[in-house]
Amino acid sequence: MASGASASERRGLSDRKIRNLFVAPALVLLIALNVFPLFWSLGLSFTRYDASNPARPPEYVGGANYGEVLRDPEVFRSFHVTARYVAAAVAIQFALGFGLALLLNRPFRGRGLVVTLLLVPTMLSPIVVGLFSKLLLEPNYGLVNSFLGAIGVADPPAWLSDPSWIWASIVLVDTWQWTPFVMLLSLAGLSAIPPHLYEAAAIDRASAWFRFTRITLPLAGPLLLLAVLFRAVDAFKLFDLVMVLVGKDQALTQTVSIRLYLEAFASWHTGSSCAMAYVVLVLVVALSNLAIRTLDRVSGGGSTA
Amino acid sequence: MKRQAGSVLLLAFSLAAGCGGEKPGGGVAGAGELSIAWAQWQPADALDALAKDFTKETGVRVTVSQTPWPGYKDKMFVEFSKRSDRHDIVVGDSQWLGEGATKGHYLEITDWLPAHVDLSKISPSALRFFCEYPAGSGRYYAAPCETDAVGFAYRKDWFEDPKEKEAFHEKHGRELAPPETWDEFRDVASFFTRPDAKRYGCAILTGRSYDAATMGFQQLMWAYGGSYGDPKTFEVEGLLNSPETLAAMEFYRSLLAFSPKGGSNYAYEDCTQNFSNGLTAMTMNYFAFYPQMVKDLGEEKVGFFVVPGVRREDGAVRRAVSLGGQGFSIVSYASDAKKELAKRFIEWFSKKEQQEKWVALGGFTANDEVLKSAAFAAASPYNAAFAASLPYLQDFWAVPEFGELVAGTQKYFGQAIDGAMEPKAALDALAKEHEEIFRRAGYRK
Repeated sequence: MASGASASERRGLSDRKIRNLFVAPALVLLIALNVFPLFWSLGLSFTRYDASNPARPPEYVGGANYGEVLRDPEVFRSFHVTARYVAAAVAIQFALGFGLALLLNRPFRGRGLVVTLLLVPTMLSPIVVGLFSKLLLEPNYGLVNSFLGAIGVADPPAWLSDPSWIWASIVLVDTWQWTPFVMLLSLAGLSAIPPHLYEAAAIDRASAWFRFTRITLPLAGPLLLLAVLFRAVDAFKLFDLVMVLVGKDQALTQTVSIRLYLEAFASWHTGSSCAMAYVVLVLVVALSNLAIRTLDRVSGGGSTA
Repeated sequence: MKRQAGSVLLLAFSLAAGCGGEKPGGGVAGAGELSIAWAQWQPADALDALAKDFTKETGVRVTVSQTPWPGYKDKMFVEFSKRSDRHDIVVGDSQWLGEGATKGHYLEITDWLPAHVDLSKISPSALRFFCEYPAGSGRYYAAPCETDAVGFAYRKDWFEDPKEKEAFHEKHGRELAPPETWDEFRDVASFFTRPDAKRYGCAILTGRSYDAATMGFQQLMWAYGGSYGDPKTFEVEGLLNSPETLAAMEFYRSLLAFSPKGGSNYAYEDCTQNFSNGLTAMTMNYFAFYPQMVKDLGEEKVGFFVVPGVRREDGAVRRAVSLGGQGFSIVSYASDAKKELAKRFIEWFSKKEQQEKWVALGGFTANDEVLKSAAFAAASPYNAAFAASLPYLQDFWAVPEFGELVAGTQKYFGQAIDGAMEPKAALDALAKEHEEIFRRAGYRK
């Protein structure tokens, strides 16, 4: 009997117990740092509360905070700013990232090095990117305007001050940083397409457009959608780049995250900021579900194609 | 194996030691240490240098932790919300007083301060704005540390150039000199604006970082006769969006024509940087930034003047200068022993001997005796203008709702300045927002 028993059982611990012991620390951390604050803040969202005022306990106000958040035109404005930004940034990054991936999806000397170098911006912290972009975009002695002046642009813009350029500047910097990420996922999708499909299409004298629409897009589709989903969710949270480049009080770039920050830490309306966070959470979960369902449908279609 | 186990134990011990008891600056917690929080700038370095004398005299080690200005207030109040005793003293802006006092973050020192610091020697405006809450109540929550005011720096070498002087006289029929009024300021700014030579008239505070646009524009608003509202009734409508404030805003916007590209979003460091780089003839900023500027450019190139005003019908000039500077507030969550140490440090710092050293290090004092001395005026090229600015000091709302009030002000002043909104619409929206904040806070029915 002794020969069949595991060492742990001999010491009185079953495999199940050992498994639970290993899982427990992660579970405790998850509950303490994620699940508990989630429910705690849900409770706070129904109160009038200022977390910076220890002397005043939360006061129950029912759904008033949700009513205020949903009626606040500034909140809607911030959603509008965010939606515009997500649509523009993700579309541009997708077009550029996928285009780069198509160019790089062929063997050539130094391909690995080129891909690695292209990925460098993605590895940088957004704060660092923001700080040096601010210097590059400085209108009087920044490198960008010096270059534009050198190639004959008479009146280059004041990127981070002129209301008609501020928004575009943030999209530009974000695109510089995150296009390589889309490129990487697109490249992974393109590399996974079996070469024999292209060979068969070539034998059938299929046009390049036909190969692109019938082979490349459907088979790389799931990973492309994943890239779009990741970027969209990440872009929705845009905060650090705006803080560094133009500050939290520039109305034209006041995204949902910035609005939430102001509500929570400038105004110290802890209750209504929790309510706003929940509105954002519900929206993000709904949109993510929609995207994941689409992804499932597309990957299902891809595998049966 | 034993060696490995020993290494693991050593690592675990190091980690545990690293996680507990460490204070900012790397010191170990103990009664002989004091931690002071301040923004990241030259005056904090000066305080750090001065505090070394305190350490020599008392053996108490003082650490000055610095946080960049844009996130300084938010960081400190997040720490307060956790009742953190990480810092024993916070050098907070004058406008934080209301929030710090009413929420219990600042220790009330009403009885202690007059007994240990000679208040008769402190400039009345510094005492009123930096130490007292509510204004006129006689209740103290801070002691003066860095007394500051907005002032202008100008390129003395450009102003004294005979060719420039002659050309200006020919154009305007008067001497080229630091301007007394905003109209004169515009003439000088316009005169020096030569984009082809990469030379501009002025850099003014317009930035969205912390409170730059607010501190810059409010001086014109007050000089023109406008105001943020009635401090007794908290009535805002018709005052903040009055014709006077609107006229002031139109004038402030008109100055952007003489500013380098991007001048509609200049934070404190942008103004200094563009002036030091030789782009502008005049720059607006707090005096606390000027010691470094003098070091960078040299005394022969830079001069200073008081914020201009508006000439009234009787010929007098109505001026207003934005108050700056910060006071020492003792964090109420510090231990009793640390509170006593903090009081000892504040008492030591407030003595005339230390105030003279503080000035020599580039700090600005609230000590009237030092301020009025001839030695002070002669000690640096900016001291005379600084002392002359003090009678005109005015401040933003110092109520507990300062954070949300200044955020809205920054947003709407900023949009009026950069043209994203019509000035009238921006001021109307701001007045409405401030009214709503005061109503929600219970100041207005």
